[in-house]
Amino acid sequence: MTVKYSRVAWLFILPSLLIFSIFHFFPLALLIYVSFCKWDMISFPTFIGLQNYKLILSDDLFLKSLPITLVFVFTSVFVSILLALGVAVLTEKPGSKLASLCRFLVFVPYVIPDAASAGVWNLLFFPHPSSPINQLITAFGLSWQSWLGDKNLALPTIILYYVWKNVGFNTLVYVAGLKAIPKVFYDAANVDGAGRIPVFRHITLPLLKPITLFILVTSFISGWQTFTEVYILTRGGPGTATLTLPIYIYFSAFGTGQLGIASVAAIFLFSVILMLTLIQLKYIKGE
Amino acid sequence: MPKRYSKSLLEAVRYILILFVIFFSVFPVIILVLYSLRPYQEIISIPTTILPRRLILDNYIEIGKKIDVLRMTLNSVIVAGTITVSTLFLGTLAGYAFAKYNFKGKEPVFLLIISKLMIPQIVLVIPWLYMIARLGLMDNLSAVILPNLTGAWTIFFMRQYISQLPDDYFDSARVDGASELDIFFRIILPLIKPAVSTVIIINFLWGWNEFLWPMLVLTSKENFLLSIGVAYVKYSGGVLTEGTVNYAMLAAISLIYALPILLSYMILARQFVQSIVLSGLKR
Repeated sequence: MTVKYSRVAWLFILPSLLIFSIFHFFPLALLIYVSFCKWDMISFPTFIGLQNYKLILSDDLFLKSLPITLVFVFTSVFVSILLALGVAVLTEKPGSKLASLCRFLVFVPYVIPDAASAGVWNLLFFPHPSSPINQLITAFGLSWQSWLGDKNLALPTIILYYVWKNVGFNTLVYVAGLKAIPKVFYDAANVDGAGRIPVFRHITLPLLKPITLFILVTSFISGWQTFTEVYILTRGGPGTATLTLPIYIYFSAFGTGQLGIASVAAIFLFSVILMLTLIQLKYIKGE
Repeated sequence: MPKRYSKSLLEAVRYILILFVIFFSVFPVIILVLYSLRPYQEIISIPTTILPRRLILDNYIEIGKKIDVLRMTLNSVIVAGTITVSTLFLGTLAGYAFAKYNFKGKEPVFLLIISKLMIPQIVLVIPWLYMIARLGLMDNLSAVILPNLTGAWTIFFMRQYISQLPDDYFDSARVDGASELDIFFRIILPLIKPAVSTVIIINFLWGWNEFLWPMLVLTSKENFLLSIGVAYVKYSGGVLTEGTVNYAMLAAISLIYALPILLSYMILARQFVQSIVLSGLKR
């Protein structure tokens, strides 16, 4: 390739590179800088060293948000992966009309925009004896609940939301994975007369391991960042019951104006995502 | 005989489970549609029913009195549409360069661009707000569009797709004296139509989904996007008394916001599924 062509290539890349530099790399650098500063977004930031980092370690809300985020991410990711594996195995059989209808419909919650699907969940679980879910459970003789308005039930309700929303995506990735398993594996097992469950455990499951890991890491990455839905559903409440890290960052930056600790928390969140991505890269290279 | 029996029993269980999954997925959406067409007083009367007694459009009319839904829809279309067209063009151009040109620093620059995918939006909005205020673009739709004029996933995806095309096409065109942009528009674009539709679907969905950043930067009602409309009804326009919200109205605005996407999914289900699974690595 000649110099002329390499110049053309740079011209093609330049607009994108410029936009990323201005709106992604520079702001990240700016954020890291202001995490060492006292700053109110109006006047010039003044350098104060590690003070924000010390401050956040004694910030009650930050310390509360960590276990809440961990519970939210781990529970919702594991439940939705397990359920998705089940649905994929149930509906993977080619030719069944009901199965393909199910695959089409299970994806609907994932396609709906986040703020709207959060609106749906809000409607199902609104804190009133006549809300749809309360009608269902009182029909079974249980007493009605405030759900998103209840300190103990708000987080489980959001976890259930996450499962409803994401099962479809994970299912379709699993279905693609199941289809990719060469038939010879099953033929060999049939010749040996192996039953369904041992075949699933010893052939299907191990072969799906790369897919499971892929879903696991991408779900962790998106789970840590979940903002829209928690904001629409509870805004972190009641009290601090659903105060996940992104919600904490939002309110400490734009609610109480503590930009210093908000930027430290943001850098912490970024480091978590960075670590998860590195794990993913290392794994993909290893495979 | 017993083996056959257990097999059909297993089939029956499978069917029941599938029906349950369908119910779990769709019941909430059906509730959304029905409740958006019921008066608020009816859904909070005790006892009430899951099914409406009569269907009315009052909730939609009520919303129209609080916010300009048409204007918000137009804003959402402008934002998602501009983001999609621009990302398709700039992202494909860059992806093509990474796929078919050799130049110094190609690998590190590509890695740098991909690394953008790791930065969560909640991390960026603090500096963005400062920068956009400095640029005088507060409360301006272009503030939402600017950071999304191109996309790292699109570049990545297009690089993968274009690198599979044989080099002969371009070489013979070059011999014929075609300019590099000619090659891009006349040869590359027609060859990658399936990839183009994937990129359009994904970027439009992402643009339509934008919430946090528009909520921070767009402050006046006439600049709201539909996504912000949902939060507005929940926390301001639809609040009846402290802690109670007009959930029928919330249902109506959520449905207005979701409907274009739901309808497109019904028409283009296969393309949607393929595109979204391909996009796996979320923003």
